[in-house]
Amino acid sequence: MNKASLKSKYPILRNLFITATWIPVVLTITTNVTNIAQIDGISMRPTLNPTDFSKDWVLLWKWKWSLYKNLKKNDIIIFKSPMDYRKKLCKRITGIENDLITTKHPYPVDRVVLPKSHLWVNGDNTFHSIDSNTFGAISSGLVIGKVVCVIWPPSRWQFFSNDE
Amino acid sequence: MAPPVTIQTKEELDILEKVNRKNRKDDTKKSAKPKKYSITQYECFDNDKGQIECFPFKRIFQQVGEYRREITDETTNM
Amino acid sequence: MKTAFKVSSIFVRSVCLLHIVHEFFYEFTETKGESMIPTINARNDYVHVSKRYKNGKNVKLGDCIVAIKPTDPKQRVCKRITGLENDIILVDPSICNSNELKKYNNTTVSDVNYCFNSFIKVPKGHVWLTGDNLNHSIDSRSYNVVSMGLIVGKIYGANDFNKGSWRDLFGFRFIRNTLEREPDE
Repeated sequence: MNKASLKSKYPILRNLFITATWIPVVLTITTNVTNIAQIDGISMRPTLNPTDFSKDWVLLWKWKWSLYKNLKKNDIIIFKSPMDYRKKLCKRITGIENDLITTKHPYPVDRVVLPKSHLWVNGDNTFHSIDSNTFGAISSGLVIGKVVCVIWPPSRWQFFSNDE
Repeated sequence: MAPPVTIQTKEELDILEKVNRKNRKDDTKKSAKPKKYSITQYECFDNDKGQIECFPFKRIFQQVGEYRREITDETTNM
Repeated sequence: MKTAFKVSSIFVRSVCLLHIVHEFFYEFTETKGESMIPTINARNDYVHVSKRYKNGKNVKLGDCIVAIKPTDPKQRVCKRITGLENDIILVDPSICNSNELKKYNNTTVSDVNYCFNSFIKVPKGHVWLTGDNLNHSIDSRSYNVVSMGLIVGKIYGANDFNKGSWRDLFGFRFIRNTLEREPDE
C-alpha cells in the first residue's frame, strides 16, 4: 500500500496523527514560555481577586533565561511553595539578593540579609497571607512565572508594569 | 535558605524525645525496637602518586516508627 | 517554499517532542565536578536521569538526585539525599572523622563536640543533600536545606566514556540507593 492510498483511505486517522504531533509544541510553550493561570485565595487583595464574586485569570511569563535575571522588586510572581511543591503561590517580591529585610511576626529573627539568588515574597493582604515571614526566603529556582496582566474578567483587564 | 532552621544539641533532642514518647505511648509499644540504617559516603584526597584516594565515612541513622535520627559519632567510624 | 515550510514545521515539532521527553520523562546528560567521586567521575561521565521523581516525588533516603542549585538556578547539582523531611540529622559529622583523616588535618576536641553534637530537623517539604565526596562538595552544609520543588530527577545509572568501548557498554553501571540496614545489636 503506498502513501497516497493511505491518505485517502484513513483521512481521520491521518488528521488525528498530525494533531497529535502538535501537542508537544503546545506543551513546550505552556511549560516554558507563557501560560494562563487562575488566582485562588485572598492573599493578594486588593491587587488580585479584589472581591469574592469572581476569580482573576492572569497571563504568566515563564521564559527562564529572561526570568532569572529580570526578577525585580514589586514584580508579582507565581512559584512552587517551598514547603509543598504541589501548591503554587502568588505573591509580590519585596526583596532580592543582598537586600536587608526587616521581618514580621512568625519569623524568628528580626533582620535577614538575603543570600544569592533568593527572593523575599509577601502578599499584598498582609494579614491573610502565608509568605516569607513564615517560610523564609525562597530560591529563585522555585519561580514558575511572572504575572504580566489580568485577562479575565474583562472589566479587570490591566497590565502590571514595573517602573520604579 | 528557607525556612529558618535552628541547631539543637543532643541534650535538647533527648528532652524533646522524652516528651514526645509520653504523648504517644501506644505507638511506641508497637514499634519499640529501633532499626538502624547507614549511608556510606567518602572523603577523597589526591595522594602523593597523583591518584585519588577515598576513605569511607559511614553515617548511621536510627529509626523508630516514622521518627528518624542520626546517631553518627566518634565511635562509629573507627 | 512549501517544502521549506514543511521541513521547518517538522523540525519544530521534533525538537519540542524531545524537549517534553527531557522535561518529564528521561534525560541523558553530562556531569562535571568532583563532588560525587567515587560514585560519579569528575569528567566524561554521563548520567541517566528519570524525571518521574521531579519535585522529589517518592524519593527515598540515600537516593542520588539532580537538583537546581538554590544559590544559582542556572546551575544544576548532583548529590545524595542524606535527610528527608522531619529527619533529625547532624549538620557536618565528617569534619572530624576517623584516624586516617587525622593525618591530613588536626582535629581538636572542640571540633568533636561541634560535629557530633549539632543537629537540625529537616523542615517540611525539604531535603538535606550532600555530595559523596564530602570534602570537595558544596552542598546543604553550606546552603542549608533544599526545597523538594528544586529536585529535577533521580539518577539511576551512569556511563563512563573514559572507558568508551561498546563491549563494556561504555562503562555503564547502575547508581544505587546506598541506604543499608545495619545489623541489630
